[in-house]
Amino acid sequence: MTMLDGRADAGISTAAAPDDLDELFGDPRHPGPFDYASIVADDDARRLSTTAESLLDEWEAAAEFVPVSLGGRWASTEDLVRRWRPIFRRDPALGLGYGVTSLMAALNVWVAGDEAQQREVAARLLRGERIAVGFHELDHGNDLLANEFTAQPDGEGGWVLTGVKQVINNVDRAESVLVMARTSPEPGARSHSLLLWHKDAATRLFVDTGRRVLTAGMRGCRIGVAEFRELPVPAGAVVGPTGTAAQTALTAFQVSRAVIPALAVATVDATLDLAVRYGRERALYGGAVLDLPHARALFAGALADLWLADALSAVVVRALHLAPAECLVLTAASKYLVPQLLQSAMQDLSVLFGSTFYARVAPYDIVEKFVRDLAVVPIGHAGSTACLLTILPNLPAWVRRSRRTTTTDPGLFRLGDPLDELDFGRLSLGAGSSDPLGAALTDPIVREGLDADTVEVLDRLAVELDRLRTEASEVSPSLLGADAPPEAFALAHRLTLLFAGGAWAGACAAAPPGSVLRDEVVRRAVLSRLEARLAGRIPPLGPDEVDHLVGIAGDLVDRDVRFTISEPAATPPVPLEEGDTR
Amino acid sequence: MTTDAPTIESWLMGRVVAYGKVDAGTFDATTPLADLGLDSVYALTLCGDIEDEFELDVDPTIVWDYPTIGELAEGISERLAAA
Repeated sequence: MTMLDGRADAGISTAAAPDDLDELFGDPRHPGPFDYASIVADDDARRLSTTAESLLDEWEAAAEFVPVSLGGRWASTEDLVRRWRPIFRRDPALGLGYGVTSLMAALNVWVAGDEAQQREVAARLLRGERIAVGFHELDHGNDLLANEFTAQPDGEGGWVLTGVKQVINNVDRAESVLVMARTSPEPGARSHSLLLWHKDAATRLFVDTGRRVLTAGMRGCRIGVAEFRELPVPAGAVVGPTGTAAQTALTAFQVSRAVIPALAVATVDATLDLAVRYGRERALYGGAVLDLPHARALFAGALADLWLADALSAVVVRALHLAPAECLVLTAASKYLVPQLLQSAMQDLSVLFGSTFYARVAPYDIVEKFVRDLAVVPIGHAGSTACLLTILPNLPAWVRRSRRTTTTDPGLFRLGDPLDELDFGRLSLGAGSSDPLGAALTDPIVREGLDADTVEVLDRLAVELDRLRTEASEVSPSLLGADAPPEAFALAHRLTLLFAGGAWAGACAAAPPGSVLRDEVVRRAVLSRLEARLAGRIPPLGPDEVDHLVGIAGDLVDRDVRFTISEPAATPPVPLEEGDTR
Repeated sequence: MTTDAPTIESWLMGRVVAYGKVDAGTFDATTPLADLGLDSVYALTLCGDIEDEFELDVDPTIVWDYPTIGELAEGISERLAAA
């Protein structure tokens, strides 16, 4: 991306560290302007919290989506995720409705826009405006190249937009809409363009955005339909050269496919915290729920799944900076597997909550909303199937790269280490040149940092990796397209699990002292769930592992420390001993 | 290794026939790849074959930028010359 100095117009000091959103919002379990009770009430009313949106405006939350070189606060994508997670611990719909949609739109401009467009979009986001993503047409789903919405030349360099875009978040209230439109009748990947429409430029009602679509999850989001009736836009509205919509969008998607699963992890983190509190106070069969073996096993399994999801999504977020050429496949793997792990965890936890879950008993009624909201994540902008379809045709190339990769950049696994600003130009639409997460399973540096039991599991996973390479190299290309049979999909599914294994091993090996990733029982528990998933069945963890994990969870809740491993835990201050004069 | 466009062109035509979507003799170097049944999956397969044959890593966008066998052969030839 071009380096620009937009700070002057933005009037934002990038030097000032933003306040912690957790502090700004307050503890959602206690009465306050943005507590769980108000979030549930707003969800029932299908609206987002106006209080929370005002707080986010004040906090200039959208500055996190604007690169530092354009006047915003976004350098490390890991920091972006960490700073936005407090929103996803409270209300995923607010996260999507307040801003993630604008991030998804802006990414295309950061990837392909010219200097003037980048400045304009940065300035708009920094003053609190929103941008909707007008890509989706219900008739074509994730098959974007089949989209029919058209942009016709107006004869004077500009364009005229006609057609309908459906299920578009914020389309009514956003100040701008980025649309994907057909600019050539030819088949193929060079026939669509991206055009950015700023509503303040319209002189009359060319577009009807009034129809809302009511959804089961993310109910507070203002999702709607936009019907364009010959809307004129100037030549400068086209983002990137004409005909490059697919290339730009497929590049931009990589960033959102990495960021969104990492944000969604926080919602499950919050649910686990609630589950411990509920499990301790709810009395059943003469004891607390968290004393019941079944409830404990459900909880421990969900916690293990959260840790694996957190490790994979965090490593993939770092890969955007450190292994960008490999991110087409890596981000598709994260956007496929992480929501699946999170949903599995939520399913288990909903059973733990029992009647409190389905009867929506306060103060735990928020869990029912979390389950509905998270169900939208794997559908979203890059559906689970679309993610596997991104991986499938790249399998033969992945095999070649995997066979020649023996080591991995250790920086990928040093969660929380500083990262330089993202270079969008280094993201590619191919399989890159290496297989960093597959290689982590056999990388000597990773193994050095692990205990013998964990290394033994890695040996078995490395055999699996080898078997997968052989099977994938024997598949005919005719089985790797949208009409792929279930056996081909299963190959891609297994690959995502092995990537998760590599991410977990690497993160464990690089973990700082005191991290839960140093705990050998934790390592084993997570890997045994992963191996079970590879085998296609998930038995409960062993009783010793369950006790150990439930014990860790109780301790974390007592100390008010979150479960996620990808954020440096706020170390509680060491109590002063008597006579200590520090 | 050969880097001249005509040789690359006939190699590419051989690959396309090998994929089994079209018969030899029913197309030439100016037929759009899209008309040869080369969807995005085969485009990636072709990229892999190019990689193996010429030791040249190519992005699948190469078949978007060079949409016929003739143009693609020219494109590969230029990249090989520049490598």
